[in-house]
Amino acid sequence: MHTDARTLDNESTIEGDICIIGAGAAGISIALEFMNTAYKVILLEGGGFEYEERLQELYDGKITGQRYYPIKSSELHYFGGTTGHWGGMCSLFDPIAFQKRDWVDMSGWPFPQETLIPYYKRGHTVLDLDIFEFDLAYYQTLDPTLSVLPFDDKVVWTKIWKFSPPTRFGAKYKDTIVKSENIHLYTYANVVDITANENISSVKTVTTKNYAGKTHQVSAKYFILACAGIQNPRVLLAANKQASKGLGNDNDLVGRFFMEHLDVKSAELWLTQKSDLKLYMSVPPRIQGEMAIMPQKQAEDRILNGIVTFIPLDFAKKFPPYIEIWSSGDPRKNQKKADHDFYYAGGNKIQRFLDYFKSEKIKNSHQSFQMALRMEQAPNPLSRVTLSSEKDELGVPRAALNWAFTPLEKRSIRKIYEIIGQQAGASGIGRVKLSEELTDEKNNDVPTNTSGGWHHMGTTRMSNDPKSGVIDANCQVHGIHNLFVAGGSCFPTGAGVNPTYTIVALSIRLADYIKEVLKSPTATTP
Amino acid sequence: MTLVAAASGIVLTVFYSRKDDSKRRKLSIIDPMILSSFCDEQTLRDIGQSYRDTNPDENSRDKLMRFLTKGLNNGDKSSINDSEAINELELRIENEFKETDPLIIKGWVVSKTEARQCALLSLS
Repeated sequence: MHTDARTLDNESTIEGDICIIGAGAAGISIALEFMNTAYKVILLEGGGFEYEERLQELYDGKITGQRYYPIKSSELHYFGGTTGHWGGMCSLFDPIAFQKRDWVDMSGWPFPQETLIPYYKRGHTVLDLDIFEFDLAYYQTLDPTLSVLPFDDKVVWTKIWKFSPPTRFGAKYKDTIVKSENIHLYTYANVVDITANENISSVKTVTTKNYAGKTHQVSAKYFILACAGIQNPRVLLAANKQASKGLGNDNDLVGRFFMEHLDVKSAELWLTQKSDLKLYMSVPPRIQGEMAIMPQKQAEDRILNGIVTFIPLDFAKKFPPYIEIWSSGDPRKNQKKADHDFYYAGGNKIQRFLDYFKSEKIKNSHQSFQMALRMEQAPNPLSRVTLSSEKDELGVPRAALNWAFTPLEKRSIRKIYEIIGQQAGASGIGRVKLSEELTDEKNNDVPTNTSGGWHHMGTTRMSNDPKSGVIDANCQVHGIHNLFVAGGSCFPTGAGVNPTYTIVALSIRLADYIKEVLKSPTATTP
Repeated sequence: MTLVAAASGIVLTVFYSRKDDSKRRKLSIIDPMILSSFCDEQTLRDIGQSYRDTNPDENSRDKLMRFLTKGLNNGDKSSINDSEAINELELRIENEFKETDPLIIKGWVVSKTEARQCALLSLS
């Protein structure tokens, strides 16, 4: 069912069993899990079904620290959320991403990778992926020409990516949600406040507002905050009328540990013999290999997890780093600019960057390749989302983002490139060249072309210890038994992998957990 | 040269030949063969200069030559520039990459022997 919240009487009260705040990848994945159940699910979306500048403006905020995209254009504020402009890249978070690593402060998830595997499998359907198979050997049996670079398999391995079409959640799931009898979608319902009980151990209601000047209250047994990595902490921090530091923030962790994936294009692979590096391009049936560092090697060199893509250098040099392209507050303008620059770099008008890898041009052999590194960042309390003194048009303090690194990032970037350079030399296939900015070992500044992946993680991090995490292993906010968080903000570490697939898997797991809790005779009453 | 790789699964077969051989002088042990496929002579000299700057104790033609020819051709210095010696040096370079941390000079990830070759070149 769908209701435009602007059409409701002012001060209406909406009641349900579960209230999901945010209809992006996380929120919709959870809602789908509750389809055709006995539970009444309230799904709140701040925007409508299409992009609207005035609503997107609510996401505007300040940036300090490392250069970053405008906050306003890095998450989308309408039904479907940021899946409206994602690239569709899906791969598993490696086992090491979940482990405690003594060289990465605050690393470790409360559970291992195996816990998420069943949910990754279920997420495949949601994301329109084909078979659940990430083993290179399987694809090599289908296509024996998928050759790996002849490197030491104790040092590097090939990580397999699969590609969602990409599924635009807004387009794909609108009808399903709207036609559902037990999922009640409310558009134009921006959550501006959360009200807890007297001792702040449970949430009673959330307050929504819209530009029609109407305010509504939503009560439910369980609330799930699913507004993505910048807005999730913003909502919790802004809910400060009962808890002065914000809800769930007794230990000053909400908003801290903001993480992105560092997208760095600062090295080149030069081959003695031209090659198409077919495996490392996107090939039918739409897989792509990328070069990853073995866990033992990461431990030995005490580095972060990063993965390298190879892009023909003649093309790559013409395509500016995303941090330069994506500079407008309007995501549509940024996309247009990216498409334009891509076209003039050698793509064609209807291709997007990822599709270039399927094109005929890529099948040509090349002698030199740009090595594009996507790397996790170390959890860092100084990298954080806070509230700005400025308020948006609905009266909510805007987000302020300080993106910051530790020295480990720079050292890891350099070391990963060096490891591949060492392998290129040992195998005799060629040499690796690093950019000038990486040559000074004592300089901890990341390269100026460092971009992000629009992946906002860590700001409501998961830990079973309330002193090191906002939520527990079940995504429940510590100390508030009926408030849960979904999305990349839950991740304690970000792996070197795009987050959407893991967001969906974790959201399905959360849905299962809440279903179990709802069966309990002690389930909260609204 | 066909590479037999240690990597798992299917391996990439790579051949290499020196770029612009015809335009260069006869191959000698001061030529870092693979590196010179990608770098012009000035870049090689810059790498060599940088290596000498950070390793002043090796800033001598004789010393560098001694390092490079040590153990080459069973110590027969009359034929240090023949193809067998050059191939031995290439093998040494590959082994250095396998066994020791490489150097990063002027951005290039190189072995110590390659750096010394460049250093010697920069003194010529």
